[in-house]
Amino acid sequence: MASVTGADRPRKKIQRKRLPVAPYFVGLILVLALLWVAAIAGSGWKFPTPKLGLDLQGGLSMTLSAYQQGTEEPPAPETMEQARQIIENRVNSTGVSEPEVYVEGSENIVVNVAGNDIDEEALRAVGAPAELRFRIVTNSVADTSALEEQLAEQETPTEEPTDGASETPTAESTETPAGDASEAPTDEAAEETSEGSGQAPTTEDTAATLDEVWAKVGPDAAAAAQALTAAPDEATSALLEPFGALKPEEVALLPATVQFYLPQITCETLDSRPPGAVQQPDIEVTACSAPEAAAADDPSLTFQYKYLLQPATVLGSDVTSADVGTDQANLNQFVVNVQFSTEGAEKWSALTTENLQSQVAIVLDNEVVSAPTIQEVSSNSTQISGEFTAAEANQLADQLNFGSLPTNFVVETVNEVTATLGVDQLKAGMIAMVLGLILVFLYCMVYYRFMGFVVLGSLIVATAVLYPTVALLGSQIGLTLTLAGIAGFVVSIGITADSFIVYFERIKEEMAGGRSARSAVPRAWVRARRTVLSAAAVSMLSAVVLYILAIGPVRAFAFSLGLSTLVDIMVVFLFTHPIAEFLSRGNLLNKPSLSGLHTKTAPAAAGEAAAKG
Amino acid sequence: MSTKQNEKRPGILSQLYRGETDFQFVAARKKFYIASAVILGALVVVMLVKGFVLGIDFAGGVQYSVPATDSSVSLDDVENAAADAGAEVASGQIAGSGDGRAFIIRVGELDSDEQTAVRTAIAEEAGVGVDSISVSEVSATWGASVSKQALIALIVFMVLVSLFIWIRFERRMAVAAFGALMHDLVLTAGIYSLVGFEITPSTIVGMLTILGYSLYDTVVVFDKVQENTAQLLQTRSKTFAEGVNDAINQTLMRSINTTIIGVLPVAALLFVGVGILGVGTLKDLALVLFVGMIVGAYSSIFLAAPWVVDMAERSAVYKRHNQKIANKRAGTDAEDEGAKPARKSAKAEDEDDDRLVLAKSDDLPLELLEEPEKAASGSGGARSGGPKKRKRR
Repeated sequence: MASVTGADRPRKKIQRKRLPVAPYFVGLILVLALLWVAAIAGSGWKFPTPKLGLDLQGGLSMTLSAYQQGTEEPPAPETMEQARQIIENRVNSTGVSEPEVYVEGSENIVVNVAGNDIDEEALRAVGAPAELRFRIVTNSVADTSALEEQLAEQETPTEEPTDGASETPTAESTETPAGDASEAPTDEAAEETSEGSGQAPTTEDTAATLDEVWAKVGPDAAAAAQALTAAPDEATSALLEPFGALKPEEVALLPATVQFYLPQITCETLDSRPPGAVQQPDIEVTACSAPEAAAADDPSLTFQYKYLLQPATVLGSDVTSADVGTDQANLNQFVVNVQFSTEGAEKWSALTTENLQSQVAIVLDNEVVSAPTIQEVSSNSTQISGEFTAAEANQLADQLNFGSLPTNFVVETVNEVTATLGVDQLKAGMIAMVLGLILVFLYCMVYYRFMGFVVLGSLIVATAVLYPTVALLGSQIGLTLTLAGIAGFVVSIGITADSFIVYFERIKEEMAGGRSARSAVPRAWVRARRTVLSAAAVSMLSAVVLYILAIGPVRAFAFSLGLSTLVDIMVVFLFTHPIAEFLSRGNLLNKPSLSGLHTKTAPAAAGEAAAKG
Repeated sequence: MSTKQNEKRPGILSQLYRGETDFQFVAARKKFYIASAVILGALVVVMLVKGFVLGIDFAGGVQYSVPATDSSVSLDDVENAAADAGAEVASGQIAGSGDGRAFIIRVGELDSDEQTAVRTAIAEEAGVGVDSISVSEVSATWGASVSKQALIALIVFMVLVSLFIWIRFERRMAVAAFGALMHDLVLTAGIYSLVGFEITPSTIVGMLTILGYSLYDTVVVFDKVQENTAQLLQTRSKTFAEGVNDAINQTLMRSINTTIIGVLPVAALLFVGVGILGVGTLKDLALVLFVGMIVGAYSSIFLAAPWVVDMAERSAVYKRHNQKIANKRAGTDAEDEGAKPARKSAKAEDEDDDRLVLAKSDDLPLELLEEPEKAASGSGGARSGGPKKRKRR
């Protein structure tokens, strides 16, 4: 409205530049309204809250770093993305809720898991290098222990499902354990587990070498187990009871045949062995299939097959590609087509020739993914058929394609924050923010008097813009507010307030030159704008460079710094400047006691300047 | 700091407040150069001799944060419990107070089994559940890789920001800003070494932020310098050095305010980081920002702007300008009488200079908008009473 009267007046040059303030405020209100509505909508029509980082709500954050032997080069981005997907699957399989797995920088993968109830050991293992192996099945037995448990729970004892074991121990399977001193398997086994737990000096709880495992179960059970060449009879079975109490890590140390024949060693235990337990290609291993439904009408009743497997000759690295197709004969039947490399094709051809009609197990991450029977000799490509659904076929193709992690990972950092500490840290961050705001406001009040309220108003507007933005980014692109992020916001209070200072100092300077507030404010704005933009550009530059190049928690810091800088520019242009213009039209700013923009001797200074001129 | 104060002037604070101070930053620049060089030299020696205290992230290790609700348990008890369980205790401290009181125990690298053992032992000793202990573990290589990334970011940032200042201001200012940055870096690092503050990856990345901040300050000063000196060559009233000195004095309050306003929230952060949380990202970031901001303010006033003067005075244009002013000041009388023929060539030179300057000064919208004719035509003799004088100084 002030602008209307201004337009009607006879104009002097300076008045042509008079600013209509209303559009700015309308613009600001529109932006605010839009942001808030979007934020409220984004959080499902509730009051929006930012997504809190793990350090503020409790949880575990782990950084895995890719390392490749003999090269400093970081892995290709596609490699990292593959690895991320696999790690995400593995994290999901540990049963945690809503894990967050993302690639950071060129060689880090960050795993974030909220909550307090986390199996740290299992999580640490997700980066272990499990590789795909093709192994001929020597023997298999159905493991119904899970099923029995389920049935017992349901208290509906029905007849045992068919013991689908084909108990036909072959000649091969007997050669390893019995007479042999336990040395060779021990070394190998120890090596395998060292990935997960390192060469730990023995603690009371977990046996770390095979000898210790034998000692733990007792000599009788040990002797009995090593003598086994087939499933034990009733009497031996009783003797073997101590094996049921072994931990998965300890089980992994046992010779494959012991793992296989002992009914006390269940598939549940075998699946929980440290990752990489069945990775060594040149030894015999035992692994289980994925659970299968025992009865068509009740999917909760499952059993697994336990397989005794030969050393692997064909490895995951021999597969060049795998895709899903349909059976030529039956178009409703999904199959997986596998292509081998030249070298892989030779090995595959040899394998299929020797083992026609045998089962070949595809082993990944301690688990037999699939165990098709070899129907014909094939070389450079093969077709895996079975009762696949489309999803199963796709999954198998994916696993064949990049089932194993394409590179090695080491755990770089593990940060476990309890919910209590998280709340404390959040509180601390909030205190810092409020304290920072108060200090800045007090300083501005002392220094700029009434204009201090303009600073306060601007900071409040900035907060009113930032809050829904952070909440919105949280709900839409998963931006989390971490402690470092809060630190960024606190630091940027200073940067934001500083643009006002640049502006006010400029006004002060113009007024000291003898101008009234009315003419000083627009003049000052033109110059201050340049300074504010230059300075903001530098802040923005440092924030962007940091965000793109840095790793670790400080990226959040850089992000909030950059976001605040943008908001700062917006607030200065849409709020601080118009409000200063508006105030300059009244008489308020011309009163030295109120505005803090005056110098006490202003008239004299003006006179002096005039005299000089 | 040497303060030259005129007799009639009001108190120094009031002068500061009004931007009327007349500190001879530029004239006395040699002193500041020497002082800075001595301080830097000393700090480099300190760094070489004393080295740095590296945080857990560089050595690798585990940090346990244990709620200390039971006041009968002492820090020593908990440290001993950790040591007995096989950990090599590096440090222990108590953070926070009241309900938030916690022991923070740092130990050397442990594998996961040992870690569990130590955690259990600590939990038993402190009388809290294992689940209420927060654990933070870092490998020995993590600090190095974070620092490497930070270094890359530093180089990229330096290059970009120098380019920005070059484009936005001029080459000399870009060089001076770069020099001031290096100064800030070395000085901050030196202070860390001297005091023995712990260096963590957060510190190093926080340092990058300081660079942004230090530049922010420098940019504010340069902006004023550019404004003050844009039309300097057309007047006979000031040398470039004097123009810059005025600019520094006029922005002095702004610089001080900028620094105070910047430091206040950081101080709040530092207070909370140290007082409530004891350790961590918050403290590391706040501390390095706190030190760096103060250092940055110093360097933009005492070093960056004077450097610009040094470089500028080497150029022919400014040498001539200084000469003319010297002539004018030395013998106004003599010149007025006898120098009419000489005046002509001087005037021709003037016009050359003016054209040169005007070509660069099209980014002064206000002046040109309001007084275009005068600014463009004003190479006459009435220079010293020109319209620009209406502005202060």
